[in-house]
Amino acid sequence: MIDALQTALEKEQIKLYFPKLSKEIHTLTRLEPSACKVACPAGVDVKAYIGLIIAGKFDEALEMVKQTNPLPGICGRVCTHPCESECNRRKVDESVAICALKRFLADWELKKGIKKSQKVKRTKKEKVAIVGSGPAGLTCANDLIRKGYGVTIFEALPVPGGMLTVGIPPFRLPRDIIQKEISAITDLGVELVTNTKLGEDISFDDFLKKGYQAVFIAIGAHKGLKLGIPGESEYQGVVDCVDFLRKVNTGDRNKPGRRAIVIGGGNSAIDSSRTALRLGCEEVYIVYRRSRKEMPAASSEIEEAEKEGVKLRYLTAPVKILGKNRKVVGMECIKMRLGEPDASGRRRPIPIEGTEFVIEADVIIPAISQKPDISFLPRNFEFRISKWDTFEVDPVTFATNIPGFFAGGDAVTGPSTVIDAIAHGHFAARSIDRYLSHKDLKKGLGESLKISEWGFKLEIEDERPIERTPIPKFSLEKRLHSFDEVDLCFTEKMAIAEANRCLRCGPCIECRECVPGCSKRLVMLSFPESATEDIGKIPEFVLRVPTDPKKLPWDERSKEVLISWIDEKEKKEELSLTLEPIVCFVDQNLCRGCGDCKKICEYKAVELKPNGDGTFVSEIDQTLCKGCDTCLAVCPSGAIKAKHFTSQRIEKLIESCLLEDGKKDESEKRV
Amino acid sequence: MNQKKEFEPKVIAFACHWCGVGRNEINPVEDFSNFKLVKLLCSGRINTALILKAFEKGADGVVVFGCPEGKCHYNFGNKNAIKECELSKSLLDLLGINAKRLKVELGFLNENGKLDEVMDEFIEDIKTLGPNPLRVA
Repeated sequence: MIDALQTALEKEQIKLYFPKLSKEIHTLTRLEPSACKVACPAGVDVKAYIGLIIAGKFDEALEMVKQTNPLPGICGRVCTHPCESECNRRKVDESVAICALKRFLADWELKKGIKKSQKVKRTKKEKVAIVGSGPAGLTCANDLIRKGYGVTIFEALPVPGGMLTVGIPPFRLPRDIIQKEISAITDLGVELVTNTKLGEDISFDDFLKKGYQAVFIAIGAHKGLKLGIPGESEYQGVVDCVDFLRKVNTGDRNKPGRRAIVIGGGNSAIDSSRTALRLGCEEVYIVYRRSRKEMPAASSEIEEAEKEGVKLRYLTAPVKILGKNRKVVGMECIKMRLGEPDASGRRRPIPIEGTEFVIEADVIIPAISQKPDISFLPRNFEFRISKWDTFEVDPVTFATNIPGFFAGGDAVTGPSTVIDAIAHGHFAARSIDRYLSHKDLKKGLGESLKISEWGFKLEIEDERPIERTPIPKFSLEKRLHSFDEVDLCFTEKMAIAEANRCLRCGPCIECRECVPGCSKRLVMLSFPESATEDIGKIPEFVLRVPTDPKKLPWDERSKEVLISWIDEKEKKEELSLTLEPIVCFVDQNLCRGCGDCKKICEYKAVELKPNGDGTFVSEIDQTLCKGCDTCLAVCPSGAIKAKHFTSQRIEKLIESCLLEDGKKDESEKRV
Repeated sequence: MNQKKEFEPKVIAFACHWCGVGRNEINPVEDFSNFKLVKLLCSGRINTALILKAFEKGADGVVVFGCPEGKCHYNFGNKNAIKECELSKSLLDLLGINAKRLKVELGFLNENGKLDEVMDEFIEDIKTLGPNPLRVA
């Protein structure tokens, strides 16, 4: 085929160097995403921003995070980081501190001074109402406003942020961070209406009257579940954790009592106990019916709580609340043991009879779980509601049973994580966009890829363990008297060191820096249209030098000829250019399998393949090999040979340089 | 009056892949206004045979570009280039071709027009030396 092209080109007398058609066209196809990206519900491109941190390109890294996660500062502090649980570094030592690195980026921007975001021009006449200004609502608003819709967020409380503001205490998530990230979104043109409760101040009918074509319900789960034990509603001093945290986080810093008991094992239980300590409670207990291993709260949070002086009582369940003179005086508990695993996979606790005991307390804070408060729902809108009071939605499109109404976040899942809510916000925004432009909501949305299908071979045997950079903490003595943030930020040096622990799971970090960086536009990237389109679906990622001859840096005439030639061939469907790369190759009959070439290869192109009888033979991955010949020099048996940069080739290159000039000279002489 | 045109020396430059002299990665040979660039993966690939080959075919001057000392991508490639060029220079003198026609230039030259500076200077030198005696003969 190449010969045909050569003759065709020779006939037209085109000036091309040896070899006649340039053969170095690299195609780098990466079909597998990294484990961290698959693990993240919102599909944040973790490997890319870690790679950019290593390169010191913090601006670009933050931009990369913001493509899929509009709340980096918040997520960097309170995310449950499922990415870290899937990190391949865990097979060597500990996972990379991805969450802390994201926080570093957000804080770095803060230190540098945030540029006020520009208002997005509204291009579409449709308006969308979002109920609730938590992470799901904010993400959805961010996506929709960037697509050109008019967006209004309605918030029942006087402050925006939902559970971020009223649920998470300021020593874990400072208020100014929330404020800044929310204003970055409202600066885009999102209208935020606070103090407006759905069902009281505004109704669904009002939305329709005011011309909103779609509604996203992200009301969260703000109603604490009842314990269901005697004495719960009889005595003063039983405060649900949601109400307790809301009161404290909106400014009420009164001491609730002397001794407090928190019931539950989730993050809100830990938050409540640490808040109670800071309010001046002398003794704070956490009562949990299973053991520490089953506790759903983040282990680092449990550790911090223990350090601060919270007393944890495992395998203990409340039986009844004791009171005197209408006030709580204590709680009767019973010891538990663990039985067989139940439907959720956790071992079921069984009470041990006769082990009842009493803990004295004047405040009891149940933090067992929450559910959405759906008392506002009007009769004429018959939403499908589950038995846990959550909205039943389509798992892919997040549409409710009523057209035009979408729901997401904790209102759908029950109490869950920030990153899940962000993912729901993205999904809902995509569906709302499709709904308003009258497209099929479900089209092209496959099931998301599982990590087990992820096929990149990682060589972890060669990796040496590097200690994970510990997150700096605010001193223990000072922190109990204030609501200042406990976790501190990485320094620049620490961040780069920590990012360097990333195994990078593959040859390309997918940072996409090459695309704008390539002045000749030789690198192209095929990627689905927008970042939010592809969440839940793993995109095909192709990095390549185009085989399109129009993009080759040749003179116009040679391009014309080449293009017309290729067009002709394409019509006959015989075009298949086999391109010969510059590579080394192994004569496997000579190879002794010593592995020296593998050790020395700069590009990780050499692999050792077992023969089956205990010996090995080396193999060079032709897509990774750069033809540098280093392995050729080190090979003791001379089994490796190079395909290019041979003396003959270079000599021909030299000749081709001088030949034309020689011809020119002769022609000049003749004249 | 068939006045001969001003002598335009033919200069071949060998460049290492990593020192950033080339403008694109596709063509193995590049045409600059006053010289031609042959690209190698490392300046260490150069040897006496290739340098002499260039002179044999009629080059008036040869330049070898490489990374700065101690910064070779393959640790010792540029040292090898210097060694080979020293040998070539002594051979060139022996053959009656001036050793000044060969130059080794180590450094990242892609910035601030450094490349043009170096090449202009070299080409001026070659112009004073005249054409390659092998070609004239």
